[in-house]
Amino acid sequence: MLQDFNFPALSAIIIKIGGIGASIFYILFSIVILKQIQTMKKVIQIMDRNVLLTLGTVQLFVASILLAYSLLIL
Amino acid sequence: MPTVFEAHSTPKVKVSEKHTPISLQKDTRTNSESKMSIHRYMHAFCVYPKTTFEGQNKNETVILLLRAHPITQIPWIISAVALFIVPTFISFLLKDFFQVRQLIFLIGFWYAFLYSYILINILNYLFNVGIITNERIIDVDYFNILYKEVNMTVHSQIQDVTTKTGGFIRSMFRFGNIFIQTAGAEINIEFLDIPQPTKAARIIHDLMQAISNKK
Repeated sequence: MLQDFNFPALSAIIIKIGGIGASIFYILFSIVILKQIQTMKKVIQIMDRNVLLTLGTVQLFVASILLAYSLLIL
Repeated sequence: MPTVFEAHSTPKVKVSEKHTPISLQKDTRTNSESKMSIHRYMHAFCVYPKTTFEGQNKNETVILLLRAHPITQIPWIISAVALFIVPTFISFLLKDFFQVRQLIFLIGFWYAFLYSYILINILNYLFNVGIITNERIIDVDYFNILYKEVNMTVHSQIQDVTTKTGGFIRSMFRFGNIFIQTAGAEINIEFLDIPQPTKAARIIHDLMQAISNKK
């Protein structure tokens, strides 16, 4: 019975589900960091020319790419 | 008749020195009529920065903004560089166990987390600050970005200012800690690993004296 079981396919499914879960977690994490940057900038107004917000947005963008990759390609 | 002596007119200083510490008055008089902003040690020791903060009073001026010395950031920079190189070696080991598309995802995820690690450390460096104004002293501490602790005290409540510098690296790069003891049950304030702690302590001391003289 074990010989009929397709182990590579099962591991691929596990990796895909894990990847989607991790990507969703990373998106949530990126949103929290972005919100926190906005809060921090209210507490102390530093002259960063919005570089920090851009870096936070880039992180969210990367997280979206990872989620799309895990959904469509992985 | 030839001119024997020509008196140069001294530059007029418009800076209000009412609350300017004695130790800073020399700095503010150089070539500028306005309060000159001085940033040293990669913005770790800023005199009269343009930074403002939440809850700042209308007449309150930020005199000094302190951050940890840039040299204290070296450990996480080294670990970030090491983490950047790791996938190059790991991918050789994992290529037999995973498909190419899975490997691309794993490496992409690794670098995404590395990016977050660097971003969080930069935020930690920028927003863990000590602020000394003409009215009070504020210590803003962020723990893992998400937890914030703000301690503040007015100059009249300060009992004692202690600086601690020791060890090879600290002596070489001139950074250390300042401990500000406040009166009664108020929380003591500490600025850790800041550059030029003696100078910062002298500025605080001058401000304390200016406040007590005013009374």
